[in-house]
Amino acid sequence: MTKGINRRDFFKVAAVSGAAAAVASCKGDPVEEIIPMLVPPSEYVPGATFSFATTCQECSANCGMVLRTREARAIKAEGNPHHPINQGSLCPTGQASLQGMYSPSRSKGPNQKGKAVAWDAGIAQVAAKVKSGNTLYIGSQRSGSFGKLLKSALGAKSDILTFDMNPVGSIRKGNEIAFGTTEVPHYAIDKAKVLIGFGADFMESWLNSQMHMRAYSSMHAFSHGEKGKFVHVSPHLGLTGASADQWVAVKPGQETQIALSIANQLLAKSALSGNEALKSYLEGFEVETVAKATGISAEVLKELAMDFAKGGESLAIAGGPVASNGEGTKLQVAVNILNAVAGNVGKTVQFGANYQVGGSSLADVQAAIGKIAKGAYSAVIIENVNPAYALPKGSGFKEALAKAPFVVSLSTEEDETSALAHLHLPTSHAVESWGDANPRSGVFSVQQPAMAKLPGYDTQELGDLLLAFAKQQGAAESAASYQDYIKQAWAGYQKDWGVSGSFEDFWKASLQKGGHFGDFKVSGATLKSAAYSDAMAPKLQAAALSLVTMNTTMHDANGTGGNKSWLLEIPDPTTQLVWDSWMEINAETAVSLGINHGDLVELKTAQGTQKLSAYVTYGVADGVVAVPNGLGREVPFPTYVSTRNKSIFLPHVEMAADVTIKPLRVGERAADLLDFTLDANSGELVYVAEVKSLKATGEEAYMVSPNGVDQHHDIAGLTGEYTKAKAGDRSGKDRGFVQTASVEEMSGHGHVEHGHHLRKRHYTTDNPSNTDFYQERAADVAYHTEWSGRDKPVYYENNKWEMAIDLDRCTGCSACVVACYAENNIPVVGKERNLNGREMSWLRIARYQEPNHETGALETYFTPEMCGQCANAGCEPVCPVYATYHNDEGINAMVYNRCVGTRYCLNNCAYKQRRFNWRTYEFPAPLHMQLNPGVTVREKGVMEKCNFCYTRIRDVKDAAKDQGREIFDGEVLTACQQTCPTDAITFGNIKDPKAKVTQIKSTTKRGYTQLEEVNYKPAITYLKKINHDNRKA
Amino acid sequence: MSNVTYASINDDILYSLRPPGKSWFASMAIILTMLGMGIFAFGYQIRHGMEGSGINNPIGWGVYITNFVFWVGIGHAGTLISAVLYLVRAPFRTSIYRASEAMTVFAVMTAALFPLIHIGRVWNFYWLIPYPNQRLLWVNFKSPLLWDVFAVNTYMSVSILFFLVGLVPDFAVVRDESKGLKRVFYGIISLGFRGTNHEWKHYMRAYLLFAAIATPLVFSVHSIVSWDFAMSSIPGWHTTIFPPYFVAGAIFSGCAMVLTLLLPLRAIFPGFRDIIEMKDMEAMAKMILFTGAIVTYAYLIEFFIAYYSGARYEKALFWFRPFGDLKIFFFLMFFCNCISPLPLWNKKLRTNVYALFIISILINIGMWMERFNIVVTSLAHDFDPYAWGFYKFEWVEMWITIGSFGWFSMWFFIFVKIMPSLAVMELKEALNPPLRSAQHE
Amino acid sequence: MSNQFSGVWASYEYLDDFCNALTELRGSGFQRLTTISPCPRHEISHALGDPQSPVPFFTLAGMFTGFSIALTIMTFMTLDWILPVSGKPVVSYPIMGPVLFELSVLFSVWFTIISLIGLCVKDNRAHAFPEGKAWKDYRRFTRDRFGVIVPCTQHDLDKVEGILNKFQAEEVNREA
Repeated sequence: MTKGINRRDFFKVAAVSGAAAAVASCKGDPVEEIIPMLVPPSEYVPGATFSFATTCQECSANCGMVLRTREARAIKAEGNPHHPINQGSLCPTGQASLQGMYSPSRSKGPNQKGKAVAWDAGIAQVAAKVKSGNTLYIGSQRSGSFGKLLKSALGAKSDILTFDMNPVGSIRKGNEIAFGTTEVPHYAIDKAKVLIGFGADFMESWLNSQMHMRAYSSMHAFSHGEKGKFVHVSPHLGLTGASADQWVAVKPGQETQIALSIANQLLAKSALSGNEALKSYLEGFEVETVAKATGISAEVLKELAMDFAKGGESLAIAGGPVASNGEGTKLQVAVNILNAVAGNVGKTVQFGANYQVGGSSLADVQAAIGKIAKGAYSAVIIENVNPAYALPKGSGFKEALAKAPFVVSLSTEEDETSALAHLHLPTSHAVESWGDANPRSGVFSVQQPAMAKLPGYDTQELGDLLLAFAKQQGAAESAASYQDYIKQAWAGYQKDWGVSGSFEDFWKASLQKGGHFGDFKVSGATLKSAAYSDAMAPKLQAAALSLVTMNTTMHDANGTGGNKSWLLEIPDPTTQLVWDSWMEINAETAVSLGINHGDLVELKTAQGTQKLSAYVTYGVADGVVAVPNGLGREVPFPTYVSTRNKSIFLPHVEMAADVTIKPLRVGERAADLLDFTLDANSGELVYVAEVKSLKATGEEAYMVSPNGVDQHHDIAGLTGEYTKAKAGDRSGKDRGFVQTASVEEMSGHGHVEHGHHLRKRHYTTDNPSNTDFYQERAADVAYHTEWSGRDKPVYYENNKWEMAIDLDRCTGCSACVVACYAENNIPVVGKERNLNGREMSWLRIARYQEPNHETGALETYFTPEMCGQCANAGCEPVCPVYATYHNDEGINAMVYNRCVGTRYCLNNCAYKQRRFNWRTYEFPAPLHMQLNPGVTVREKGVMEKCNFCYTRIRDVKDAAKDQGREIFDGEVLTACQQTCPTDAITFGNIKDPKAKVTQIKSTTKRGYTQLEEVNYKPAITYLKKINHDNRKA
Repeated sequence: MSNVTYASINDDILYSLRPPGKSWFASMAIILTMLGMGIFAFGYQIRHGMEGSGINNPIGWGVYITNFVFWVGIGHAGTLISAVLYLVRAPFRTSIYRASEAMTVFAVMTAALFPLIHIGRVWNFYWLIPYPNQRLLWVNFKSPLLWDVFAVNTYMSVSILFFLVGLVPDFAVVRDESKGLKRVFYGIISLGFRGTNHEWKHYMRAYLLFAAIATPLVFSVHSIVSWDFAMSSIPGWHTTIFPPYFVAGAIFSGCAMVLTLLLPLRAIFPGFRDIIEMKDMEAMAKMILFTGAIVTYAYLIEFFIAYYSGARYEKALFWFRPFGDLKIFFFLMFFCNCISPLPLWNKKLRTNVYALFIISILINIGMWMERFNIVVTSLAHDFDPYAWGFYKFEWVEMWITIGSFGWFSMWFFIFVKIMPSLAVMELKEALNPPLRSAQHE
Repeated sequence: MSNQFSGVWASYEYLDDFCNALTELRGSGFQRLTTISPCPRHEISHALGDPQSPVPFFTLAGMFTGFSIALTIMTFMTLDWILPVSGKPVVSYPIMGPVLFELSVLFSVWFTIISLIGLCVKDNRAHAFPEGKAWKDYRRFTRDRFGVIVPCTQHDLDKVEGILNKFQAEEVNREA
């Protein structure tokens, strides 16, 4: 018989090749212990999630934090919903604290320049030094019981400094000058109808981003036909400015004049109109003069004043690195005057809160450095702060430290500073330690260890260490451990607060709740005459071309995020750049300097020269360039094979079965461009410098962004000539990923037809509603199950999960993306793989820039985009092996084990929300211990995507089943929703008529789905962004 | 064909079956090296994942699928010539159909590799086949990819059978022309075929039926391949024009490949020259002109439809193709497929071996570019601007592509040496039979 | 059937002679002829009276088999484990088109092949072939000669030979 190939042969071939493939694929797959510890702690139940309420120590804001643990190992950091400050949300930095905890660069144990030493020896050594003379202690800002212990541990002869680069000092100083109090008040943004921010980047680093974003959303989000107004006055737009209704772009230092000119306009009608001195002071800031001086049109200034006159329901805030231009304090004073004049003090500016944010003034640090250099200290103790990285060279910190006789580092990580220490006694990470905090008056939160110490890391809790020191000093500390110390302290608090009941109950309750939360007494303040003395008048003249270094969403000047791979991999929302620092330059400036988007430019200041990639944008004022803080650190990262700039015909072979972890320098250290000049009044670092020269090097920058539009250099339009009309993505146009409406339109009046280009959609569709559609599907399934003589599956019986995303609330802060990475074991792939479009993020904050042809402004919009679990999905029918199908709760299930990796689903997804595992990615140890056991870690060749955190749904369903009840609304929180500070994301069961998501979807007039005309019927409804008469920054 | 007799046909054709010479072994060495490169790269890909190829997040299909469509396309001319032209009794068929059918079989064998090469977990490829398994899982018949599995497998087995059936009588010829071991070997594979009237009776009938069945198959297979794209929702893929457009393109590239293979064959074996006459080559050239015109029309009409439909995404895409980052591929395609065949309108060039050869090579390149354009640029620029992408070639896919040409040529070289490269029996059939009456005139 | 061959076989150089010989033989009552030719010629099959092949019936049967198998497996497999995908009905008929077609073709082709081989074998065995050395060494039928095998009884041998030689057979061999 002449068959081409007979059956027997076929099986032979199949067997052989199959075996070959199997062998090739199996070899070297890592085998891992699932439960690494020998003696499991009492709470250990396999598969059960335990949460511990504690306090976030990543910054001095001390948000309440809940640590989720699985198998007695912390896997995720979330906000504590009971905590009055952050109310359940947590910023990217806070969530990334787990990456600090499991950081590959953690110190393994006490050592002397790398040589291991015993704890006792180390402690004794330090104690001796401390006894022998003066000690300098530089640590992170810790409120609560810690300070007292520190004093007793170091004795009277020691100087204690807290180190924090964020310029809070100017706020304190400004308040002292204007109101006679150095406290940081509570800025009640939520009580204001109009908010004017003078550089205050309250969505990035200003005071407490979580608290303020939440307040901002309740003030600014559209509800009942109205929304508040937010004006951003600053040289740099940033994330905060991007969600403002109006951006007044000024040169550094001009903010103050604008604040005062507004005050001047309001004075006549205000309570302070009688104050002649103030009057005469403000007369110097007539609209016209200020308009002339700043180049901001008088109309704008008048409009600002008109908006701001709200009789106590407006608020002006100031601060942030960009505003710390040497006159930061003056600006703060001016803003205080403005608030006072507008009658906001005591209403929206609430004294009495006394926030414990920020560190010692850098002036003190400067003095201390001087003393170190002079050898005034016998020992310098540095705890979990990194001045060697954060301070500009001019500070001479490193040199001074070299002179110091004995330097001890108590830092958890091996960072730039601990490298300079003679002795390194690594303290446990906050996640492993006891502690407490008092972020503002009335709020006391406890910090408890969520897990046993990381195996293989010989560390001690900071508190215990200090107790040991104290004992060596002979201080009378009765507490055996810091835990006891805290308990004793809280026993005292219980009496002070007059909480009845036994201490044990009180203690347990506090631990469960995360602390003891009370309110604070709001008090006002009266304006002091010093505020309007000529000393406070703005003098600063901005340089022709000046540099500002700003804090970004992911990184601040302390650089704590600079070595955490999540914060580097997740794109900076406003620029969408990853794994690098950049230089934002205004388009007009760029044209005048002959710089194009994506050029590698050489930026030269008096202090230093750096090669940076030019990011041409309208998000920074003309004549200003902006560089992000907190980068330029080394990250231990797997060295994947690189084919960048290599021949495509020669093999680039990766030999080792596993990838070695090598340090990798990310970006440039912005501080190197800055001089160590301090604000004369507050002693805060000046983050503004004059640019000596800026020119293109002629090379193309290695600037990487997952944003497809940036790859196409579309920001410059096709021509490369920058005009606002040409700039932007040329993308959202009529594609309606972001849709907007104006307040007027929503409230009925206001013309719809001619209007914002984002408002008119190219397509009109009349598809059946999602509800009809999925019910029809359920009927079809029922019919066929009956036909096949079964009783399962039953579709949409109790649950159909859907989501609503309110774009008017979303600020693009990207905290949700971090949460997604943490929850779903999403691998970090690095810069080159981002460049090649291999990023694995399941959730992206897509940024769309659109020129508004009515106002001429270039508007920035953010939209969180994840898999929509489409009811009529494109990905499902094309999979030849049913690896993705629609499950009975409306989730577009992805069966990793069944996937053969044809990638057809990815191609056919209109939203491009699927991610393919191009290789088996590495989680450098000990980061792999952070992996969530509830979610499969995917191998090479498998497709993956967002599944509405189905593990969380399962957990809740199981719990409900155990208790024999239905799931109630709001019980299931997706990771992104849980951490959203503005509640932009609503998730729930659409079959439940009372569910919030059902309510929103059935009642809203703003709802739309992306790409409706493709008729995939995603389960995500977006709510239109609402602008004031179609204007936006 | 006056000087051609039954006997001379045998001699001329069997001439090519003599033991291979130095040049054959030399070229075979090169071919096997190419194949080796491909196998190495594929092994590396299995070991380390798909990173070695340029495919990325928006662009899930790249060079591999391009190669797949390319080779399937090549695989069409063969069956077209042997089946369709058989039905329409085209005179120039007999001389070239054997070689082109061989080309078909080998091209489809090459194409069939690429779906396996491009999937992420090739060690699970058998999950694509509906067989009873302990997981009780079946395949998804709603997926165009599965239609592909059936289409390609059917096409492969049918073309192989068709090929072998055609070969059996010629094997018998070789058997009777040779002695010793060779005779035994060909005796076995000729299945004891003698050429009795009984055999011819069934044989001719079956062959006719084969042709009749294979004809719709030719059109169905590439239509189904085109549905891999047309059934999706992506601008640039979601097009009703695809099936005819793909089939035309397939025949276009197939004919070009036939020329690319036969012209050298003619040169190497002088005996073939008076059998494969220039007019047969010319007929191929005419086919190329015709299908080339269809392809060009399809290109243009796609742009018109994009403009006329007013569909945003479609428009944006068809703006992107000629002006976007990947424009080089578009213009290569357009030049090779639409401009380069035009000289064939001139009879002189049409009958000039060198011109034909160069043009056929250009067309092969152009058709590869066409597939690359369809697959990649559409994905690079679809709905969501945030997810636009760019394609960068990597070494693994390059090596595998080289390997695929090695694989194809290897089979063709073996074929030339062990099988009659021209259809002995059918050539005789086409010949005027030896008649005594003819002798007297 | 008949294993012991007795009869005459001859080879011809020219087709027209050959066909005339065949007609003559059939005219004189020798129906069970076996011809051998380098390639199929209509003249020969005319001379043999255009016998028809039953292959097409097998092909048709194959097509129906393939079609029904495709229909069954697709329905059965989708119902065996119900996994709804997007908006498509669980059992959806439009999507079956391609597979229905492909399997029909596949089966019809295999049926054709098998029937072809089977029929050839059957017919060849139904007719006896010479076993003589001369016959075994004769190799030109696949090259350029036409051959005819006339099974006949002893007393017809001369008659047959006569007819064959009358049309200038190149060589005539008798086996008894």
